[in-house]
Amino acid sequence: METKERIKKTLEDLLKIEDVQACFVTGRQIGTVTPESKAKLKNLALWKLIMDTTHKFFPITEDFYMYGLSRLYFELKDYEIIMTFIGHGIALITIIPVLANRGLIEVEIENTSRVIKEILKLHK
Amino acid sequence: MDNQSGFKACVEVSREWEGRSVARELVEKIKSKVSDPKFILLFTTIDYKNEFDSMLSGIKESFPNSPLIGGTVAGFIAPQGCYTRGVVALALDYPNMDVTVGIGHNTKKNPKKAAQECAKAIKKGLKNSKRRSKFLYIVNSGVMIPQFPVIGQKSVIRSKLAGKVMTMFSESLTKFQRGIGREEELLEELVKLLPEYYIFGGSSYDNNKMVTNYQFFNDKVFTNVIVSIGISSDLKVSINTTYGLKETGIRFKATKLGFDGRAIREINGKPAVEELLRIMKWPEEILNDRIHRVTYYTPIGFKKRGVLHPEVMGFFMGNNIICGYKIEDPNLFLLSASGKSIIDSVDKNLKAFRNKNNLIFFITSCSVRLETIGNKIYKIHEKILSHLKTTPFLLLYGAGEDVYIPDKGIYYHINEALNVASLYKE
Repeated sequence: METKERIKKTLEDLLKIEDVQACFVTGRQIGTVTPESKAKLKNLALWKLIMDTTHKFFPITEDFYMYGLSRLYFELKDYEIIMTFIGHGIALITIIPVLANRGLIEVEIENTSRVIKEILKLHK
Repeated sequence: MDNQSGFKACVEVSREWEGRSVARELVEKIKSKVSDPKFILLFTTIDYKNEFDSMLSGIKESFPNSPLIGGTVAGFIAPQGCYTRGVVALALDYPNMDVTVGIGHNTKKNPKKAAQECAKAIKKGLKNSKRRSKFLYIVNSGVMIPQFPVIGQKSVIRSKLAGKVMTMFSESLTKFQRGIGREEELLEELVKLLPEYYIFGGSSYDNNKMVTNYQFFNDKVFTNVIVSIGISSDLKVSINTTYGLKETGIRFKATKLGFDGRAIREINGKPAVEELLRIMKWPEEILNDRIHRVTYYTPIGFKKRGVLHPEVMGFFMGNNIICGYKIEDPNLFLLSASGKSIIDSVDKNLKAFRNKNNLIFFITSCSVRLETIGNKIYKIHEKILSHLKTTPFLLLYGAGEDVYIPDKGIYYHINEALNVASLYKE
Protein backbone atom coordinates (compact mmCIF):
# COMPACT_ATOMS: atom_id res chain seq x y z
CA MET A 1 0.00 0.00 0.00
CA GLU A 2 1.23 3.48 -0.80
CA THR A 3 2.56 5.56 2.12
CA LYS A 4 -0.28 8.08 1.99
CA GLU A 5 -2.92 5.34 1.85
CA ARG A 6 -1.41 3.67 4.92
CA ILE A 7 -1.39 6.97 6.78
CA LYS A 8 -5.02 7.58 5.76
CA LYS A 9 -6.02 4.19 7.19
CA THR A 10 -4.25 4.97 10.49
CA LEU A 11 -5.97 8.35 10.69
CA GLU A 12 -9.29 6.66 9.98
CA ASP A 13 -8.79 4.51 13.09
CA LEU A 14 -8.06 7.60 15.18
CA LEU A 15 -11.10 9.45 13.84
CA LYS A 16 -13.36 6.56 14.85
CA ILE A 17 -12.68 7.32 18.53
CA GLU A 18 -15.76 9.00 19.96
CA ASP A 19 -14.27 12.33 20.98
CA VAL A 20 -11.86 12.79 18.11
CA GLN A 21 -13.54 15.49 16.02
CA ALA A 22 -10.96 15.69 13.26
CA CYS A 23 -7.39 14.68 12.52
CA PHE A 24 -4.85 15.02 9.77
CA VAL A 25 -1.14 14.84 9.11
CA THR A 26 0.69 17.74 7.61
CA GLY A 27 4.29 18.02 6.55
CA ARG A 28 6.54 19.68 4.04
CA GLN A 29 7.32 16.52 2.14
CA ILE A 30 3.96 14.77 2.20
CA GLY A 31 1.59 17.76 2.19
CA THR A 32 -1.70 17.22 4.01
CA VAL A 33 -3.15 13.75 4.53
CA THR A 34 -6.69 13.40 5.88
CA PRO A 35 -8.72 10.29 6.70
CA GLU A 36 -11.19 9.02 4.12
CA SER A 37 -14.20 9.83 6.34
CA LYS A 38 -15.38 13.38 6.87
CA ALA A 39 -14.32 15.22 10.01
CA LYS A 40 -16.96 15.29 12.75
CA LEU A 41 -16.18 18.92 13.52
CA LYS A 42 -19.32 20.94 12.79
CA ASN A 43 -17.61 24.31 12.57
CA LEU A 44 -16.38 24.10 8.98
CA ALA A 45 -14.84 27.58 9.01
CA LEU A 46 -12.68 26.59 11.96
CA TRP A 47 -11.75 23.31 10.30
CA LYS A 48 -10.68 25.16 7.14
CA LEU A 49 -8.71 27.68 9.17
CA ILE A 50 -6.83 24.92 11.00
CA MET A 51 -6.11 23.04 7.77
CA ASP A 52 -4.90 26.19 6.01
CA THR A 53 -2.70 27.57 8.75
CA THR A 54 -1.12 24.70 10.67
CA HIS A 55 1.88 24.40 8.35
CA LYS A 56 2.71 28.03 9.13
CA PHE A 57 3.78 26.94 12.60
CA PHE A 58 6.66 24.91 11.25
CA PRO A 59 9.21 27.73 10.78
CA ILE A 60 8.85 28.47 14.49
CA THR A 61 8.44 24.94 15.82
CA GLU A 62 11.45 23.63 13.92
CA ASP A 63 13.76 25.61 16.20
CA PHE A 64 12.12 24.04 19.23
CA TYR A 65 12.10 20.59 17.67
CA MET A 66 15.87 20.51 18.14
CA TYR A 67 15.18 20.83 21.87
CA GLY A 68 12.75 17.93 21.94
CA LEU A 69 9.45 19.66 21.16
CA SER A 70 6.91 16.87 21.01
CA ARG A 71 3.48 18.47 21.45
CA LEU A 72 1.66 21.78 21.30
CA TYR A 73 -1.79 22.33 22.74
CA PHE A 74 -4.13 25.13 21.66
CA GLU A 75 -7.34 25.74 23.45
CA LEU A 76 -10.14 27.44 21.58
CA LYS A 77 -13.57 28.02 23.09
CA ASP A 78 -15.04 24.55 22.71
CA TYR A 79 -12.14 22.65 21.23
CA GLU A 80 -8.62 21.68 21.94
CA ILE A 81 -6.09 21.23 19.15
CA ILE A 82 -3.24 18.85 19.81
CA MET A 83 -0.25 19.13 17.51
CA THR A 84 1.97 16.06 17.83
CA PHE A 85 5.35 16.25 16.13
CA ILE A 86 6.13 13.03 14.35
CA GLY A 87 9.39 14.12 12.84
CA HIS A 88 11.20 17.15 11.53
CA GLY A 89 8.57 19.31 9.79
CA ILE A 90 5.74 16.81 10.09
CA ALA A 91 2.90 16.79 12.62
CA LEU A 92 -0.29 14.97 13.48
CA ILE A 93 -3.12 17.38 14.27
CA THR A 94 -6.01 16.15 16.42
CA ILE A 95 -9.05 18.16 17.44
CA ILE A 96 -11.06 17.14 20.49
CA PRO A 97 -13.77 18.80 22.61
CA VAL A 98 -12.32 20.89 25.40
CA LEU A 99 -14.07 18.75 28.02
CA ALA A 100 -12.99 15.40 26.55
CA ASN A 101 -10.94 12.95 28.59
CA ARG A 102 -7.74 14.08 26.97
CA GLY A 103 -5.44 11.66 28.75
CA LEU A 104 -7.19 8.62 27.30
CA ILE A 105 -7.26 10.07 23.79
CA GLU A 106 -3.59 10.98 24.02
CA VAL A 107 -2.69 7.31 24.35
CA GLU A 108 -4.24 6.64 20.95
CA ILE A 109 -2.71 9.80 19.48
CA GLU A 110 0.63 8.41 20.61
CA ASN A 111 -0.14 5.03 19.02
CA THR A 112 -1.17 6.75 15.79
CA SER A 113 1.99 8.82 15.67
CA ARG A 114 4.10 5.72 16.32
CA VAL A 115 2.43 3.91 13.42
CA ILE A 116 2.93 6.91 11.13
CA LYS A 117 6.57 7.16 12.19
CA GLU A 118 6.96 3.53 11.27
CA ILE A 119 5.26 4.11 7.90
CA LEU A 120 7.53 7.07 7.21
CA LYS A 121 10.47 5.19 8.68
CA LEU A 122 11.30 8.15 10.83
CA HIS A 123 12.20 5.97 13.79
CA LYS A 124 15.67 6.72 14.97
CA MET B 1 5.38 -18.32 27.92
CA ASP B 2 5.92 -22.06 28.23
CA ASN B 3 8.02 -23.61 30.94
CA GLN B 4 8.97 -27.09 32.17
CA SER B 5 6.07 -27.32 34.63
CA GLY B 6 3.63 -27.15 31.73
CA PHE B 7 2.57 -23.61 32.55
CA LYS B 8 1.58 -21.75 29.39
CA ALA B 9 0.17 -18.26 29.17
CA CYS B 10 -0.15 -15.51 26.62
CA VAL B 11 -1.57 -12.01 26.38
CA GLU B 12 -2.79 -11.07 22.92
CA VAL B 13 -4.12 -7.79 21.50
CA SER B 14 -6.40 -7.05 18.57
CA ARG B 15 -6.94 -3.62 17.01
CA GLU B 16 -9.44 -4.81 14.44
CA TRP B 17 -12.83 -3.08 14.63
CA GLU B 18 -15.30 -5.82 13.76
CA GLY B 19 -16.14 -8.43 16.38
CA ARG B 20 -15.63 -11.41 14.07
CA SER B 21 -12.26 -10.09 12.90
CA VAL B 22 -11.19 -9.46 16.50
CA ALA B 23 -12.19 -13.01 17.45
CA ARG B 24 -10.41 -14.50 14.45
CA GLU B 25 -7.18 -12.63 15.19
CA LEU B 26 -7.19 -13.43 18.90
CA VAL B 27 -8.06 -17.10 18.39
CA GLU B 28 -5.23 -17.51 15.90
CA LYS B 29 -2.72 -15.83 18.20
CA ILE B 30 -3.84 -17.72 21.31
CA LYS B 31 -3.90 -21.12 19.56
CA SER B 32 -0.31 -20.71 18.46
CA LYS B 33 0.78 -20.40 22.10
CA VAL B 34 -1.88 -21.96 24.34
CA SER B 35 -3.84 -24.57 22.40
CA ASP B 36 -6.32 -25.49 25.12
CA PRO B 37 -6.57 -22.72 27.75
CA LYS B 38 -7.84 -23.47 31.25
CA PHE B 39 -9.47 -20.05 31.08
CA ILE B 40 -9.54 -16.84 29.07
CA LEU B 41 -9.83 -13.25 30.31
CA LEU B 42 -11.15 -10.85 27.70
CA PHE B 43 -11.27 -7.07 28.04
CA THR B 44 -12.24 -4.41 25.55
CA THR B 45 -12.61 -0.67 25.48
CA ILE B 46 -16.14 0.71 25.15
CA ASP B 47 -15.59 1.39 21.42
CA TYR B 48 -16.58 -2.24 20.80
CA LYS B 49 -19.98 -2.17 22.49
CA ASN B 50 -21.78 -3.13 19.27
CA GLU B 51 -19.38 -5.97 18.57
CA PHE B 52 -19.49 -7.94 21.83
CA ASP B 53 -21.83 -10.71 20.68
CA SER B 54 -19.91 -11.60 17.54
CA MET B 55 -16.59 -11.25 19.35
CA LEU B 56 -17.55 -13.53 22.23
CA SER B 57 -19.29 -16.14 20.11
CA GLY B 58 -16.31 -16.20 17.74
CA ILE B 59 -13.90 -16.88 20.60
CA LYS B 60 -16.13 -19.40 22.36
CA GLU B 61 -16.70 -21.35 19.13
CA SER B 62 -12.97 -21.96 18.98
CA PHE B 63 -12.49 -22.54 22.72
CA PRO B 64 -15.76 -24.18 23.86
CA ASN B 65 -14.13 -25.77 26.92
CA SER B 66 -12.32 -22.68 28.15
CA PRO B 67 -14.35 -20.57 30.60
CA LEU B 68 -14.21 -16.89 29.74
CA ILE B 69 -14.84 -13.79 31.82
CA GLY B 70 -14.05 -10.13 31.30
CA GLY B 71 -15.56 -6.76 30.63
CA THR B 72 -15.00 -3.23 29.47
CA VAL B 73 -12.11 -1.09 30.67
CA ALA B 74 -10.84 2.45 30.04
CA GLY B 75 -7.55 1.11 28.74
CA PHE B 76 -4.87 -1.52 29.19
CA ILE B 77 -1.18 -2.22 28.98
CA ALA B 78 -0.01 -5.49 27.50
CA PRO B 79 3.51 -6.56 26.51
CA GLN B 80 2.71 -5.25 22.99
CA GLY B 81 1.93 -1.67 24.09
CA CYS B 82 -0.58 0.70 25.70
CA TYR B 83 -4.13 1.11 24.43
CA THR B 84 -7.30 3.06 25.10
CA ARG B 85 -8.91 1.46 22.07
CA GLY B 86 -8.65 -2.25 21.48
CA VAL B 87 -9.28 -5.76 22.75
CA VAL B 88 -6.98 -7.88 24.90
CA ALA B 89 -7.14 -11.54 25.84
CA LEU B 90 -5.17 -13.46 28.44
CA ALA B 91 -5.15 -17.23 28.04
CA LEU B 92 -3.60 -19.65 30.51
CA ASP B 93 -3.03 -23.36 30.76
CA TYR B 94 -1.46 -25.31 33.59
CA PRO B 95 -1.92 -28.99 34.43
CA ASN B 96 -1.98 -28.59 38.22
CA MET B 97 -4.93 -26.22 38.20
CA ASP B 98 -8.71 -26.55 38.60
CA VAL B 99 -10.84 -23.70 37.38
CA THR B 100 -14.45 -22.66 37.66
CA VAL B 101 -16.48 -19.53 36.98
CA GLY B 102 -19.12 -17.68 38.97
CA ILE B 103 -21.56 -14.88 38.34
CA GLY B 104 -23.72 -12.75 40.65
CA HIS B 105 -26.49 -10.50 39.35
CA ASN B 106 -27.86 -7.08 40.33
CA THR B 107 -24.70 -5.82 42.01
CA LYS B 108 -25.89 -2.24 42.37
CA LYS B 109 -29.28 -3.14 43.75
CA ASN B 110 -28.15 -5.89 46.12
CA PRO B 111 -24.36 -6.42 46.22
CA LYS B 112 -24.53 -8.81 49.16
CA LYS B 113 -26.86 -11.18 47.32
CA ALA B 114 -24.76 -10.91 44.15
CA ALA B 115 -21.64 -11.86 46.11
CA GLN B 116 -23.47 -14.83 47.65
CA GLU B 117 -24.61 -16.06 44.23
CA CYS B 118 -21.09 -15.71 42.86
CA ALA B 119 -19.38 -17.37 45.87
CA LYS B 120 -21.85 -20.26 45.80
CA ALA B 121 -20.94 -21.04 42.18
CA ILE B 122 -17.22 -20.90 42.94
CA LYS B 123 -17.51 -23.17 45.98
CA LYS B 124 -19.62 -25.65 44.05
CA GLY B 125 -17.31 -25.62 41.03
CA LEU B 126 -14.18 -26.27 43.08
CA LYS B 127 -15.58 -28.49 45.82
CA ASN B 128 -13.73 -31.57 44.56
CA SER B 129 -10.43 -29.81 43.99
CA LYS B 130 -7.67 -31.10 46.25
CA ARG B 131 -5.26 -28.28 45.41
CA ARG B 132 -4.68 -25.93 48.28
CA SER B 133 -3.82 -22.55 46.84
CA LYS B 134 -6.96 -20.53 46.03
CA PHE B 135 -7.21 -17.45 43.85
CA LEU B 136 -10.30 -15.57 42.74
CA TYR B 137 -10.14 -13.08 39.88
CA ILE B 138 -13.16 -10.79 39.86
CA VAL B 139 -14.67 -8.25 37.49
CA ASN B 140 -17.36 -5.94 38.90
CA SER B 141 -19.62 -3.37 37.34
CA GLY B 142 -18.30 0.13 38.05
CA VAL B 143 -20.08 3.43 38.45
CA MET B 144 -22.75 4.42 35.90
CA ILE B 145 -24.16 7.93 36.01
CA PRO B 146 -27.12 8.65 33.74
CA GLN B 147 -27.38 11.69 31.53
CA PHE B 148 -29.93 13.86 33.33
CA PRO B 149 -32.68 15.57 31.34
CA VAL B 150 -31.79 19.14 30.31
CA ILE B 151 -28.52 19.35 32.27
CA GLY B 152 -26.84 16.23 30.87
CA GLN B 153 -24.08 14.72 33.01
CA LYS B 154 -22.52 17.26 35.33
CA SER B 155 -19.51 17.02 37.64
CA VAL B 156 -20.39 20.27 39.38
CA ILE B 157 -23.76 21.69 40.36
CA ARG B 158 -23.26 24.94 42.21
CA SER B 159 -26.86 25.58 43.24
CA LYS B 160 -27.29 24.27 46.78
CA LEU B 161 -30.90 23.27 46.21
CA ALA B 162 -30.25 21.55 42.86
CA GLY B 163 -27.17 19.90 44.39
CA LYS B 164 -29.24 18.55 47.28
CA VAL B 165 -31.87 17.20 44.89
CA MET B 166 -29.23 15.61 42.66
CA THR B 167 -27.51 13.97 45.64
CA MET B 168 -30.82 12.48 46.74
CA PHE B 169 -31.48 11.36 43.19
CA SER B 170 -28.00 9.77 42.99
CA GLU B 171 -28.69 7.86 46.21
CA SER B 172 -31.83 6.33 44.74
CA LEU B 173 -30.16 5.32 41.46
CA THR B 174 -28.90 1.94 42.70
CA LYS B 175 -32.51 0.75 42.97
CA PHE B 176 -32.59 1.17 39.20
CA GLN B 177 -29.18 -0.50 38.69
CA ARG B 178 -27.42 2.80 38.04
CA GLY B 179 -25.10 4.98 40.09
CA ILE B 180 -22.23 3.84 42.30
CA GLY B 181 -20.76 0.35 41.99
CA ARG B 182 -21.02 -0.67 45.69
CA GLU B 183 -17.93 -2.81 45.11
CA GLU B 184 -16.73 -2.49 48.72
CA GLU B 185 -19.94 -4.16 49.88
CA LEU B 186 -19.49 -6.94 47.34
CA LEU B 187 -15.91 -7.53 48.40
CA GLU B 188 -16.76 -7.61 52.10
CA GLU B 189 -19.31 -10.36 51.49
CA LEU B 190 -16.99 -12.32 49.21
CA VAL B 191 -14.28 -12.25 51.87
CA LYS B 192 -16.75 -13.63 54.42
CA LEU B 193 -17.82 -16.43 52.11
CA LEU B 194 -14.47 -17.29 50.55
CA PRO B 195 -11.98 -16.53 53.33
CA GLU B 196 -9.27 -18.85 52.00
CA TYR B 197 -9.15 -17.22 48.55
CA TYR B 198 -6.78 -14.47 47.52
CA ILE B 199 -9.14 -12.07 45.77
CA PHE B 200 -7.98 -9.72 43.05
CA GLY B 201 -9.70 -7.69 40.36
CA GLY B 202 -11.48 -4.47 39.62
CA SER B 203 -14.45 -2.67 38.20
CA SER B 204 -15.36 -2.50 34.55
CA TYR B 205 -15.75 0.93 33.09
CA ASP B 206 -16.12 2.95 29.90
CA ASN B 207 -13.97 5.77 28.50
CA ASN B 208 -14.09 7.68 31.80
CA LYS B 209 -17.55 9.04 30.98
CA MET B 210 -19.24 6.81 33.55
CA VAL B 211 -22.23 6.23 31.29
CA THR B 212 -22.11 2.45 30.98
CA ASN B 213 -20.00 -0.67 31.39
CA TYR B 214 -20.32 -4.35 30.54
CA GLN B 215 -19.21 -7.70 31.88
CA PHE B 216 -18.60 -10.90 29.90
CA PHE B 217 -19.42 -14.41 31.07
CA ASN B 218 -18.57 -17.05 28.47
CA ASP B 219 -20.43 -15.90 25.35
CA LYS B 220 -22.94 -13.69 27.20
CA VAL B 221 -22.83 -9.94 27.84
CA PHE B 222 -24.18 -8.43 31.06
CA THR B 223 -24.37 -5.19 32.98
CA ASN B 224 -24.50 -4.93 36.77
CA VAL B 225 -23.02 -8.33 37.49
CA ILE B 226 -19.90 -9.64 39.14
CA VAL B 227 -18.09 -12.30 37.13
CA SER B 228 -15.23 -14.33 38.51
CA ILE B 229 -12.78 -17.13 37.85
CA GLY B 230 -11.94 -19.34 40.79
CA ILE B 231 -8.56 -21.04 40.60
CA SER B 232 -7.36 -23.89 42.75
CA SER B 233 -3.75 -24.86 42.07
CA ASP B 234 -0.30 -25.55 43.47
CA LEU B 235 0.82 -22.04 42.53
CA LYS B 236 1.43 -19.47 45.24
CA VAL B 237 -0.10 -16.01 45.12
CA SER B 238 1.56 -12.75 46.02
CA ILE B 239 -0.17 -9.35 45.93
CA ASN B 240 1.29 -5.90 46.36
CA THR B 241 -0.25 -2.41 46.19
CA THR B 242 1.55 0.90 45.74
CA TYR B 243 0.19 4.37 45.15
CA GLY B 244 2.67 7.07 44.21
CA LEU B 245 0.63 9.48 46.30
CA LYS B 246 2.13 11.88 48.80
CA GLU B 247 0.54 13.18 51.97
CA THR B 248 0.34 16.96 51.75
CA GLY B 249 0.01 17.46 55.51
CA ILE B 250 -3.45 18.96 55.04
CA ARG B 251 -5.91 17.12 57.26
CA PHE B 252 -9.57 17.67 57.94
CA LYS B 253 -12.52 15.91 59.48
CA ALA B 254 -15.67 14.87 57.65
CA THR B 255 -18.08 15.81 60.42
CA LYS B 256 -21.20 14.87 58.51
CA LEU B 257 -21.44 12.12 55.94
CA GLY B 258 -24.40 11.02 53.85
CA PHE B 259 -25.21 8.65 51.01
CA ASP B 260 -24.10 5.73 53.18
CA GLY B 261 -20.67 7.30 53.71
CA ARG B 262 -20.13 8.32 50.10
CA ALA B 263 -21.10 12.00 50.35
CA ILE B 264 -19.22 14.49 52.49
CA ARG B 265 -21.83 16.95 53.69
CA GLU B 266 -19.76 18.84 56.28
CA ILE B 267 -16.05 19.33 56.85
CA ASN B 268 -14.91 20.61 60.26
CA GLY B 269 -18.57 21.36 61.09
CA LYS B 270 -19.02 23.60 58.03
CA PRO B 271 -20.64 23.01 54.62
CA ALA B 272 -18.25 20.64 52.86
CA VAL B 273 -17.59 22.40 49.55
CA GLU B 274 -17.14 25.86 51.11
CA GLU B 275 -14.76 24.48 53.70
CA LEU B 276 -12.78 22.50 51.14
CA LEU B 277 -12.31 25.63 49.02
CA ARG B 278 -11.12 27.52 52.12
CA ILE B 279 -8.70 24.77 53.18
CA MET B 280 -7.29 24.40 49.68
CA LYS B 281 -7.25 28.15 49.02
CA TRP B 282 -9.07 27.37 45.78
CA PRO B 283 -11.16 30.12 44.14
CA GLU B 284 -14.83 29.35 43.68
CA GLU B 285 -14.34 29.53 39.90
CA ILE B 286 -12.49 26.22 40.09
CA LEU B 287 -15.88 24.56 40.47
CA ASN B 288 -16.59 23.92 36.81
CA ASP B 289 -16.80 20.85 34.59
CA ARG B 290 -13.02 20.71 34.36
CA ILE B 291 -12.62 20.24 38.10
CA HIS B 292 -11.31 16.71 37.49
CA ARG B 293 -8.15 18.14 35.98
CA VAL B 294 -7.45 19.33 39.52
CA THR B 295 -9.05 16.68 41.73
CA TYR B 296 -7.42 13.76 39.91
CA TYR B 297 -4.12 15.09 41.23
CA THR B 298 -5.49 15.76 44.70
CA PRO B 299 -7.37 12.73 46.00
CA ILE B 300 -8.45 12.55 49.61
CA GLY B 301 -7.57 9.56 51.74
CA PHE B 302 -8.26 7.71 54.95
CA LYS B 303 -6.75 4.66 56.55
CA LYS B 304 -8.57 1.45 57.36
CA ARG B 305 -6.73 -1.44 59.04
CA GLY B 306 -3.52 0.44 58.21
CA VAL B 307 -4.26 0.47 54.48
CA LEU B 308 -4.42 3.78 52.63
CA HIS B 309 -7.77 4.27 50.89
CA PRO B 310 -7.48 7.06 48.29
CA GLU B 311 -10.78 8.53 47.08
CA VAL B 312 -11.42 10.66 44.03
CA MET B 313 -13.64 13.64 44.76
CA GLY B 314 -15.96 12.79 41.88
CA PHE B 315 -18.86 15.22 42.01
CA PHE B 316 -19.56 18.55 43.66
CA MET B 317 -23.30 18.84 44.14
CA GLY B 318 -24.34 21.97 45.99
CA ASN B 319 -22.47 21.58 49.24
CA ASN B 320 -21.96 17.82 48.93
CA ILE B 321 -18.76 16.19 47.73
CA ILE B 322 -19.58 12.78 46.29
CA CYS B 323 -16.89 10.08 46.42
CA GLY B 324 -16.63 6.70 44.75
CA TYR B 325 -16.89 4.46 47.79
CA LYS B 326 -17.66 4.58 51.52
CA ILE B 327 -15.55 6.81 53.73
CA GLU B 328 -14.96 4.62 56.78
CA ASP B 329 -12.86 7.00 58.84
CA PRO B 330 -13.86 10.68 59.07
CA ASN B 331 -10.26 11.74 59.61
CA LEU B 332 -9.31 12.59 56.07
CA PHE B 333 -6.10 13.83 54.59
CA LEU B 334 -5.29 15.39 51.30
CA LEU B 335 -2.95 13.53 48.97
CA SER B 336 -1.12 14.71 45.91
CA ALA B 337 -0.16 12.85 42.76
CA SER B 338 2.17 13.77 39.95
CA GLY B 339 2.97 12.05 36.69
CA LYS B 340 6.40 11.21 38.07
CA SER B 341 5.14 9.77 41.35
CA ILE B 342 2.61 7.61 39.48
CA ILE B 343 5.30 6.29 37.15
CA ASP B 344 7.77 5.73 40.00
CA SER B 345 5.21 3.65 41.93
CA VAL B 346 5.75 0.91 39.32
CA ASP B 347 9.37 0.33 40.41
CA LYS B 348 8.40 0.35 44.05
CA ASN B 349 5.69 -2.20 43.45
CA LEU B 350 7.48 -4.64 41.17
CA LYS B 351 10.66 -4.79 43.27
CA ALA B 352 8.64 -6.88 45.74
CA PHE B 353 8.42 -9.72 43.19
CA ARG B 354 12.11 -9.84 42.31
CA ASN B 355 13.11 -13.08 44.02
CA LYS B 356 10.13 -15.17 43.01
CA ASN B 357 9.64 -17.59 40.18
CA ASN B 358 6.78 -15.53 38.76
CA LEU B 359 4.74 -17.16 36.03
CA ILE B 360 2.16 -14.49 35.31
CA PHE B 361 1.16 -11.03 36.54
CA PHE B 362 -2.37 -9.66 36.83
CA ILE B 363 -2.29 -5.91 37.36
CA THR B 364 -5.12 -3.46 38.03
CA SER B 365 -5.09 0.29 38.27
CA CYS B 366 -7.42 3.24 38.24
CA SER B 367 -8.48 4.98 35.03
CA VAL B 368 -7.84 8.27 36.81
CA ARG B 369 -4.12 7.47 36.72
CA LEU B 370 -4.35 6.76 33.01
CA GLU B 371 -6.21 10.01 32.38
CA THR B 372 -3.65 11.86 34.50
CA ILE B 373 -0.55 10.72 32.67
CA GLY B 374 -1.94 10.30 29.13
CA ASN B 375 0.66 9.33 26.54
CA LYS B 376 3.35 9.12 29.25
CA ILE B 377 1.77 5.75 29.96
CA TYR B 378 4.51 4.36 27.72
CA LYS B 379 6.98 5.12 30.52
CA ILE B 380 5.00 2.70 32.70
CA HIS B 381 5.10 0.16 29.89
CA GLU B 382 8.91 0.49 29.68
CA LYS B 383 9.27 0.04 33.43
CA ILE B 384 7.05 -3.03 33.51
CA LEU B 385 8.98 -4.64 30.66
CA SER B 386 12.29 -3.90 32.35
CA HIS B 387 11.11 -5.60 35.55
CA LEU B 388 9.07 -8.49 34.18
CA LYS B 389 11.13 -9.23 31.07
CA THR B 390 9.27 -12.01 29.23
CA THR B 391 6.80 -12.93 31.98
CA PRO B 392 3.28 -12.34 30.62
CA PHE B 393 1.26 -9.57 32.24
CA LEU B 394 -1.94 -7.63 31.76
CA LEU B 395 -2.55 -4.23 33.34
CA LEU B 396 -6.17 -3.05 33.24
CA TYR B 397 -7.39 0.48 33.95
CA GLY B 398 -10.88 0.42 35.41
CA ALA B 399 -13.17 2.16 37.86
CA GLY B 400 -11.66 0.77 41.06
CA GLU B 401 -9.56 -2.07 42.36
CA ASP B 402 -10.24 -4.95 44.74
CA VAL B 403 -7.76 -6.90 46.83
CA TYR B 404 -8.00 -9.48 49.60
CA ILE B 405 -4.88 -11.04 51.10
CA PRO B 406 -5.99 -13.86 53.43
CA ASP B 407 -2.68 -14.42 55.22
CA LYS B 408 -2.57 -10.74 56.18
CA GLY B 409 -6.30 -10.54 56.85
CA ILE B 410 -6.70 -7.35 54.86
CA TYR B 411 -9.06 -6.46 52.06
CA TYR B 412 -9.75 -3.23 50.26
CA HIS B 413 -11.66 -1.66 47.42
CA ILE B 414 -9.77 1.50 46.45
CA ASN B 415 -9.06 4.03 43.70
CA GLU B 416 -5.85 5.57 42.39
CA ALA B 417 -3.58 2.63 43.19
CA LEU B 418 -1.40 0.15 41.34
CA ASN B 419 -2.17 -3.44 42.37
CA VAL B 420 -0.11 -6.39 41.24
CA ALA B 421 -0.85 -10.10 41.72
CA SER B 422 1.63 -12.77 40.76
CA LEU B 423 1.09 -16.49 40.44
CA TYR B 424 4.41 -18.11 41.20
CA LYS B 425 5.99 -21.47 41.73
CA GLU B 426 7.92 -22.07 44.92
